[in-house]
Amino acid sequence: MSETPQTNPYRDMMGKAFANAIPLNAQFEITYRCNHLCTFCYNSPTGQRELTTPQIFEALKKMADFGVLYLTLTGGEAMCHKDFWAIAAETRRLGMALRVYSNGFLLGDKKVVNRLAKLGPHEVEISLHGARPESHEALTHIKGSFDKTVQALDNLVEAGIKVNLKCPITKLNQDELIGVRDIGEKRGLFVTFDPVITPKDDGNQDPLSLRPDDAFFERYWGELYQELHHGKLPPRANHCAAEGSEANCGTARSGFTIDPYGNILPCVAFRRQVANILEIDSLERIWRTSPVLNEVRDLAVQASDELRKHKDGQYFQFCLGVAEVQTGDPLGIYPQAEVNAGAVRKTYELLQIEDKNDGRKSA
Amino acid sequence: MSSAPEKPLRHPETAFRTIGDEGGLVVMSGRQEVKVLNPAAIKIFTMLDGEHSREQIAEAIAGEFDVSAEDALKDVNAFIDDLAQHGMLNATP
Ligand SMILES: C[S@@+](CC[C@H](N)C(=O)[O-])C[C@H]1O[C@@H](n2cnc3c(N)ncnc32)[C@H](O)[C@@H]1O
Ligand code: SF4
Repeated sequence: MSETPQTNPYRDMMGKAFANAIPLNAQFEITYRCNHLCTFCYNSPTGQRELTTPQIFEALKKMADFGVLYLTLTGGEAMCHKDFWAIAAETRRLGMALRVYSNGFLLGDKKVVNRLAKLGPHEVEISLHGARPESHEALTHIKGSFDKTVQALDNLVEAGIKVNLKCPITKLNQDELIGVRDIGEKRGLFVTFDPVITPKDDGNQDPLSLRPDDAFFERYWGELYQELHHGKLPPRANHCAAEGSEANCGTARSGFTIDPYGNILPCVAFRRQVANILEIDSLERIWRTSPVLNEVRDLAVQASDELRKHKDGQYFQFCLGVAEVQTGDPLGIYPQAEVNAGAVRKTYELLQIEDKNDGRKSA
Repeated sequence: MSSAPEKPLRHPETAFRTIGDEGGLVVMSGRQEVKVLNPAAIKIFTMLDGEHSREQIAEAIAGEFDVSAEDALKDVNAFIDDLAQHGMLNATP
């Protein structure tokens, strides 16, 4: 009656959920509080009152009733919420699989990790911003944060918790990505690098000054990506899009985001307000009837159509949210996406030339 | 026949979702295991709440799917035994 994942039934099921816009994931930003001061952080608190803990519980119940399978607690730094433990326990009690996104600082303490392990989290994603204290802390502005985060990786692995390590690529760490990979791989972790720095949620473009220059990205997609990933070729679509889907990505489809004020958003990057979770009876109804969500779903399909017209269309990783804050148009092609797509195309072209020359296989 | 209880209860660390008419997914949190279930199996899984007996579950399956009550009970028993073996049932409901 059942199959394990990685076989086709699992992919088929995920594909069906995607095609029918049945969301399996929700990201819940439970607070904007944080113990780091990352220069580039996209969070843009407005000064409104954040949800209280009983309101967070109410929101969790609505998400569980809606059938959310994977609930991610994030922020800000979710672990800085005064009731983080009660919220995480409630997530599990409601039957949802718990993911935590964290900077790892508090998880540098074994006792904290053991407490987390007791909740049976599905996985934890940790951000690391360099392979050395100097580079990591140049971004976080917290002395000692590198050691804590690396210690967190050891603690989590020791406690048997699945960890993914992620690293947004900045000018501060662009020359030590192999070192970051090695920190992860030494511990048996899956490591991902994010090649896009986004503006702040309020439209402030300051974070973009930390983006490496175009020449770096030519090199990144041309050589470094394969070196980092042991010969794997660069992706040619968004990681959150199901194979063969007509939508560019999973916004308003595979999941949604709730911000610390309770606003329901199509995804973490595309922050159009749908409704407030406290003001609705059922997520199911709003999910199917919201004009905002329906428009965003249509836009994600239009984005695919538009990209197909671009000369590098098949190589694009494109985010409608980044497009909207950067160009004012969710379908507007922003420079980072274009540079990346051009560099990925060149990589594939080069591999085909090599194919002809020496018979080596490419994608 | 396993030692799984008469009114079986899914393990508290399982999370599940029905996906349209296609079946559903069950996640064993903390173990990174995911199971893909067909429509009958996900229906059974949702009824493993410690309040329904195997016979009641089989009755619901027979009512909803094209299967006799007898065959449904066999399927329910086999599925519950399989879940118990995979640690997806609560040992003490
Ligand atoms: C906002 S943080 C919240 C979770 C947690 N505090 C952390 O830092 O992992 C989520 C992720 O976004 C990344 N991030 C923050 N600002 C960013 C930006 N402007 N561009 C790209 N990634 C960013 C962080 O490094 C982190 O991996
Ligand atoms: S740790 Fe996360 S939430 Fe905190 S400032 Fe850094 S990116 Fe932002």
